[in-house]
Amino acid sequence: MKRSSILASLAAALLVTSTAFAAETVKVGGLWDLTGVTADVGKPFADGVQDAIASINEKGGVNGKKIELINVDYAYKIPQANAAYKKFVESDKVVMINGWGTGDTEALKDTIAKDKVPYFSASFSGHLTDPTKTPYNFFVGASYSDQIRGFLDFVKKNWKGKGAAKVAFIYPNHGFGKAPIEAGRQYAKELGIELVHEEIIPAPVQDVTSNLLSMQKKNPDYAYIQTTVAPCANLLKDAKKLGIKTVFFLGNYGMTEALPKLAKEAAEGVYGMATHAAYGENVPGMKALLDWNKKHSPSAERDTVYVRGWAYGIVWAEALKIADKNKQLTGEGVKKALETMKNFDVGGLTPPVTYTATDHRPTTKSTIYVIKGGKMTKVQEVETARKKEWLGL
Amino acid sequence: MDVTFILQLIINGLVVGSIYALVATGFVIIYKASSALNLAQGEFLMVGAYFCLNLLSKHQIPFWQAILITFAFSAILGILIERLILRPLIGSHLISVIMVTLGLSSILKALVQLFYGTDTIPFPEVFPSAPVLIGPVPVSQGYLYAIGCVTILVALLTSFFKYSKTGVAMRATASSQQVALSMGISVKKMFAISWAISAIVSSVGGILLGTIRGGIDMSLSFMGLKVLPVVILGGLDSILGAIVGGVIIGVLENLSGGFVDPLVGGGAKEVAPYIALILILMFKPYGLFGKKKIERV
Amino acid sequence: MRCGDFKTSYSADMTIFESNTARVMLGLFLCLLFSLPLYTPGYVLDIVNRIGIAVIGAVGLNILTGFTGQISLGNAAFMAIGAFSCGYLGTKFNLPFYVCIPLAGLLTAFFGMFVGIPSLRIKGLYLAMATLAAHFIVEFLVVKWDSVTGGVAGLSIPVAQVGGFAFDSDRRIFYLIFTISIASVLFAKNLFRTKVGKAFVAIRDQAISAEVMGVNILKYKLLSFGISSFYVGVAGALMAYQAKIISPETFPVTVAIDYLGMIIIGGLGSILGSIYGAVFITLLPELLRLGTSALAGPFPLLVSKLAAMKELVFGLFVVIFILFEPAGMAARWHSIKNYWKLYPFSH
Repeated sequence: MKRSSILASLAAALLVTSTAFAAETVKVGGLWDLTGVTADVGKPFADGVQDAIASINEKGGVNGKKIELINVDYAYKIPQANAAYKKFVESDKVVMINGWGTGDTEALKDTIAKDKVPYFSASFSGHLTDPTKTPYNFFVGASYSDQIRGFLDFVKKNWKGKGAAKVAFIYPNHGFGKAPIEAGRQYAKELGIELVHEEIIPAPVQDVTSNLLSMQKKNPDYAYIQTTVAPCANLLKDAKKLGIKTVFFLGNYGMTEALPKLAKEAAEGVYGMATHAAYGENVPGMKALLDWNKKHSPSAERDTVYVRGWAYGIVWAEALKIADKNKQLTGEGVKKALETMKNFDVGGLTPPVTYTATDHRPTTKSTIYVIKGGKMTKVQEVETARKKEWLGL
Repeated sequence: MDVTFILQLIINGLVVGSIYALVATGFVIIYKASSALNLAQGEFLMVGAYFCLNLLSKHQIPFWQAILITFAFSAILGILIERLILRPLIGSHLISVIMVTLGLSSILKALVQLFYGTDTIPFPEVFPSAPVLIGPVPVSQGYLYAIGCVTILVALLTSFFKYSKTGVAMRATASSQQVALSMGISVKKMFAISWAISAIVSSVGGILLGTIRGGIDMSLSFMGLKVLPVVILGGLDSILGAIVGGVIIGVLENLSGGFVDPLVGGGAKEVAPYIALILILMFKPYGLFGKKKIERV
Repeated sequence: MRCGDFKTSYSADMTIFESNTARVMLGLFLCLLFSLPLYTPGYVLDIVNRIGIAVIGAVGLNILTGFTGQISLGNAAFMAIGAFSCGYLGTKFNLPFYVCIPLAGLLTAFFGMFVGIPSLRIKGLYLAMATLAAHFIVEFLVVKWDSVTGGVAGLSIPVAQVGGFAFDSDRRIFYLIFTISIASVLFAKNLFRTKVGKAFVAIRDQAISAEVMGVNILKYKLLSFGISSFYVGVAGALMAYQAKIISPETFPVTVAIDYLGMIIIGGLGSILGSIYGAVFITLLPELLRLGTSALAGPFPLLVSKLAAMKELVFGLFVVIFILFEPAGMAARWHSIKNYWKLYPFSH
């Protein structure tokens, strides 16, 4: 055969297969932090979502169509997030995006509403829960604000000392760190708990001794740390060195299995809020994760953030299925599909998920864990009230 | 005034400052001997820490042997960089030298990231972690060991430069290269030795930081930026200045963190050394101990 | 084919275009450039727009560092000032972009001249350190002064519009960016044909002699800081309009190092070099991303190493260029052009 005809048939074959392939996939954008300041939790999350989607694709995907995750590592740099978003929407034509950080999600919130692109963020910022302000934002788990309220409820219930309990908030000065603080301030006032100190720590964390010493001056009984696990570990180790007696509470990006590994003895007796099950916990949905990892990544060390990513994958893949069944596999269709999900069971990996057209808080339940003997140990489940005036806070 | 609070801040500042002093000393040694500005000093610290950690955790080599091997590696790295990158640039524009070391710092950072990733890697416990009481103030033992190490190292370096033949030769080269050459001193060898010593000194700093923090990650390279206010304060060509400057900047940082941060809501600690740098440049541009170069245009 | 260099008048010696061919080629290039938005996909236009902005910033930095010899690490801070003042003027006072951008440039120019005042007393490394310190101080102020800058949440920039025409997409803002870009390149090129530009070069080459010859060092150094900062401020303002959202994280010190890399690799003291450098450094992460995702099949781990690879390649290029081609890509292009000009008699 002449060379030109071989090339021509090859090109035709490629064209056919590519269009054929293209017709069979649902494109979803995946924006991850794999190498930036929150990569300590960004990587397991990305792994969780990717594995969940691979597992769902194996079982038939979205009614026969495969989900194609287009992955971009933006290293928590907002300009890269913007550029990736433009690429997702204009060039890849994705149906929805699974994003990551508070900073970029809040920065993009008006644009995604305008473009009608459902945006799942690994950020649980309370500012993303009000559909009148952020109609296309979703996340899976109790918001940071509800977590800090859960912490304050716990303090109120367990405080046996004289007078009001004294608490402090420790957080870095960016979107993620500041997200629950205003809610925490208001609720502490409501409960009569004394917020004695707010300590702003640098991000990325370097030496925090002076910050801890500043907090120590006010002698809080409890302190809530709103940052990811690696800086939390640093803080706890330094606190232990300084002999600080405050009881520490972490948010859901601090209380992970990596904490005792990084902070070692300093993690003992530290509490934290968890929005998802610990890896390997005895819930019905865990079997799928364990089987997948036994087959594909037997040596990988997974944690609760991995479970989180997996739960996300399950939730929005389900929405894609619903939208597809209604023949509305578009951004707006997926949003409507999400808002029909009521008490959607995620197999115990996270409390049941409910979205409505007026409330994007999937749940207000979270679980308090404590590190005992180097392991995440369940203490109790908490549920904060689903108050209307707390939407968007 | 809470005395314990201030004392704790000062002690912490001393510890952090002694690490700054180490890195600054490395910087000054290179500047004195070869008039090169090594902006990759922070990366030397990081590479030293990661290399040592690799030996300790992956290959299970006992601590003292690991340190010596790390020293050898750092020395070789320093000599290689001097030979391949800085030697050809002798006599070129200042900005070329600054940029080449900035490029070098990017390369080193990237190499570390490629091999070890960006996660925090825990450093095995070398010093016992129980705090010791100095007066009313609990101080971590690792801190005390760090200050001790730095003091010993500085004493070693000072006696090296003052009494050993090579040390005196290096000072001669720093003073005037041409005269040193005509006296029979191999200036090329002096350059190489100065880079080797500087790299070793930085890796000591890295290892100490690793043991204090209990873990190392990419943020170690930020030390390189921190060292600049230190050398400006102390004087670019004075080792004593580097040490004094390091301690002053470390204490200043912590005191700002303790007293100014609550007033401005955070962030003052990071910016304080740079405000200090600007003030020093305005009033004493050659630093506390640097040599004055009169040049008015 | 021309060879030899025979000029008979001063204006012929100082001309920018040495032959009609050069003018025609430039004209064709401009036509091609301005037709780009008609057929290029949005994502590529985003990159091209960023290149246009980087060109303005690189030319500005080159005026200060390449032509006047004042090393500045404060580039990112100046861009931040330009971007945030433009944003503030646009949101608080609702000024249209054709007022905001020049005003932002002027504000940055004043700030630049203020930073430049110490440059009389301190030189070289000390000046570099002072500008670096200025960067961190500006970064701190941007975060703290949140009534103006929006603090860590950042600032949402209103869309640039004139009359009813809104520059709300990459396609449209392309024309705005490149008009300003080309104008600034032309201005800079002409600047170095004037007394002011030559004074800058004199200061770089031999400041003491220049002073002796009557060049007022203080005035021209400040002017250099001012003009350079104006350029960088305008670049920052355009960046605000293009990205639509800016925050303190948009301008870390790595941006300043990137711009220095641009002018080193492109060529210090060369306007054309600034353009080459800007194109190269802006394209670098995109090309790497294409490369790693193309190779993602056989080498899946590459994607996660992207950030490290970008730094590695950047550092390698900077070091290699400084060692082997210190005058940058512009010089390399020049020698290639000269080789072919005299082919086969090149020497």
